[in-house]
Amino acid sequence: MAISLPINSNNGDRVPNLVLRDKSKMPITNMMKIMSQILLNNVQVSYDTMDMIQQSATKYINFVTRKAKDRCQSECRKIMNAEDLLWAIEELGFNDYVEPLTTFIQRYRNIEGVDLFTTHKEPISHIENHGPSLGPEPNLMSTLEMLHPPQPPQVNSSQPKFSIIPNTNLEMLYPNEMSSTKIHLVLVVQMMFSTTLMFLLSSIMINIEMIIEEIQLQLTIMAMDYDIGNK
Amino acid sequence: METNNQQQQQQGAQAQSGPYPVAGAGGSAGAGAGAPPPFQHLLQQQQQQLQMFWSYQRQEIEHVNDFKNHQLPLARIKKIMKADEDVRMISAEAPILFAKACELFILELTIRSWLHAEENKRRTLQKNDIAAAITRTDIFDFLVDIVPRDEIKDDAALVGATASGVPYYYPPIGQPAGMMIGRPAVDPATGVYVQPPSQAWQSVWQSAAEDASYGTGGAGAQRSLDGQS
Repeated sequence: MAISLPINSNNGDRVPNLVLRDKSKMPITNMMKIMSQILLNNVQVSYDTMDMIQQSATKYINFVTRKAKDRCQSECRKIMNAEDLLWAIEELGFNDYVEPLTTFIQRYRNIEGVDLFTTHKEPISHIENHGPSLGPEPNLMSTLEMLHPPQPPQVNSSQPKFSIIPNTNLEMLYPNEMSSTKIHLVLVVQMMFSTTLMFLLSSIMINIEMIIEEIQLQLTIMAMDYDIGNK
Repeated sequence: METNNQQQQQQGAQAQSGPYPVAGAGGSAGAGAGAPPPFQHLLQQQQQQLQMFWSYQRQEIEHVNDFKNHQLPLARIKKIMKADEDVRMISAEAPILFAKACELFILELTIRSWLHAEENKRRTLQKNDIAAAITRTDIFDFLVDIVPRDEIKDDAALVGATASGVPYYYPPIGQPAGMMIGRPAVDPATGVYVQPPSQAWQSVWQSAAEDASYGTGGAGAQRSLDGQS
């Protein structure tokens, strides 16, 4: 009789455990993996013990979630985040958990940050594009350098030109003035001479014409006198 | 599921014969360890082991690189969180953080339970070990609901016996009718669950101070996966 009672109780316990396990509890396989990290190889865990730990884990999640919910409601926020859970865990006395979990979530976000950095590769390529734009600047610098060397030659050439210009001007001025003076004299003389000749010729022609007319008149009168003598 | 459960039960049945000689040895050792100084020394050892556990956890978290593979399913965690009707929207980071928090919780509960089992020189974690861990730890007060009254009585008796220095152990042959209440603590042993082999993980945890332990841990994880498959 004493032996049969425990068997019945075990059978009664197993059926509802199976149902509850499937619905809303942590899976036993995953929990076994976690526990195997620290338990020795020859340590065994009874089935009732696994069930008890399973219930404990589920209650732990509900316990922390309820506390985190209080903070969300007090701050009028609808979305529960990691900070709420960390706050609840600390408020409930799990002080040893806060530091490892804070490190855990920070490293997780750093990895997300790395993803953001990957997204920022375009700005990096943009910087690379800016490289070609830097190219012209060296060209401009080289252009400036090109401009700089010609300056000394200009300065060198300017001094001789400055020194030569007066000489050149003197040489040019004297020949120019001499040649221009001669040309002017020749032209003026030629023009005066031609003008004078034209004037004289025209006046002579006019005189000659007057003389011819007088001669013709005299001839006509003489002719009339000759006819009267014949009578 | 049923097939797996049957296999687990068979494994438990196979391992049932193991604990008997261990229990006997535990009884004799318990009688020897009745002095108060060994008890204080035991407490110090337990605290040292817990400190080693937490320092190892900090190191492990510093070296975690895979945040997508979790020991616990995120969907299940989210479902349990939403069991409270007032909780409607949860950020993506919350289940991830909870997966790690729950892992730490299970590990701490397992260690404290194992320490209690070790006190009684047993190699099997039983319900009363979990009950003792819950009763002794203040932050586990929210779990008192799931601790049976029988377990609480047993734990109180154990604590009292240990404190007074008198060993608390009764042979099963001479159990009176009044001690039948403690019987359920022994009966759960019929469903003993065998742990998969994980020697590498033991070395990893025991040598937490070494930096090279991380690589060994990885190898241990692979071995454990191979063992399971």
